[in-house]
Amino acid sequence: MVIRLCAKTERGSRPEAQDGDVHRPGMLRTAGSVLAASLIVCAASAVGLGVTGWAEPTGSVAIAPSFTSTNQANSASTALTLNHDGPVTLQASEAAAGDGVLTSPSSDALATAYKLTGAALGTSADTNWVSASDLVHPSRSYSVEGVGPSEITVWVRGVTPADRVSDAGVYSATVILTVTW
Amino acid sequence: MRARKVLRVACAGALVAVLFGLATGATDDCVVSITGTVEPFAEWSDAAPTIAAGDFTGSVDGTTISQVGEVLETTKALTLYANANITITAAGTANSGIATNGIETLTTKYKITGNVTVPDAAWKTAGSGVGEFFNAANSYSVTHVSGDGSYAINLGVRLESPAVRAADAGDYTCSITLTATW
Repeated sequence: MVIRLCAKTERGSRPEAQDGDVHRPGMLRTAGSVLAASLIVCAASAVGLGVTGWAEPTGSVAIAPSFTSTNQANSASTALTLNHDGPVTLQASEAAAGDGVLTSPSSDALATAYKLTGAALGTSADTNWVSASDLVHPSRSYSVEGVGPSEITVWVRGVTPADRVSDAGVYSATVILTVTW
Repeated sequence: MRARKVLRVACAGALVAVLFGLATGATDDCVVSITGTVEPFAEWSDAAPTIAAGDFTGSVDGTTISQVGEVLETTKALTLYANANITITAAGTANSGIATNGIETLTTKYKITGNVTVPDAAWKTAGSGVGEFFNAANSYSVTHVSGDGSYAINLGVRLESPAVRAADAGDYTCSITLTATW
């Protein structure tokens, strides 16, 4: 949609510049201004549409069912849409150390692992669970191929300890997925 | 004039490149939040522990009764996993919790110690009467401490042969059930 809009604007400005009128220099400047303004409008539109970037700035994963025993593994996922007009790189990180680990208000923690999957990830897609620390220290890198929009599925797994019961409560974690192009 | 044109074209190109996001190194973040819930619960590390004849000690020959009035004792270490305050109660199951061989029985007593609020200081007879081990009022409390979801519960068992006669030879068996409630 953005490219068609640019072409239309250019066609509209050409006849004025080719009239041979005595005021041609001024009209040329006017035409140039119109073209520049059109380019800016087009570019702004492109940025607004998110040529490359996440369709949504946030995502959420609710692990269900609840944990009710020791050594219990539960997992869930969410599908994120990534817009990209070429190959890009995807990396995970934490805002603060340990943010990627499911942690309770009492500071108890569950063993937390992640998987990123999706056709666009090609061979860089995870086939096995990656621990929270391995995901972000150092940041694991994923190659997103082709042209989007691409669906990136984030899987999260929590596991309760085998040798004790974790504190009861809601455990939370946060990771940041950064696309670089 | 030509230089100005070149400059204008360069500026326009740069503007377009930047606005279209063609510059390398651009990034965009998606913050993913995850939640999961751990319910209050408890479970025994071993749901069906056993005490074998060889686990007992205290008799003349070590692990078996070979005299009148002889006593065997053992302590079974159990582990209770819990993330809530717990009440433990006991009930006799096989042979009502009394060591039995056919129609013959040994005096059987129990006690609970370990991470309970009030551990038994003395043996309690297998039975449901007042003050006995299986009495409904006989319970043990475990107070949960955040981050400490494992508690040691020790079950003591004592077998006594009659003082005035010899008990029938053979294996004496029984079972009890310890129930954790939260």
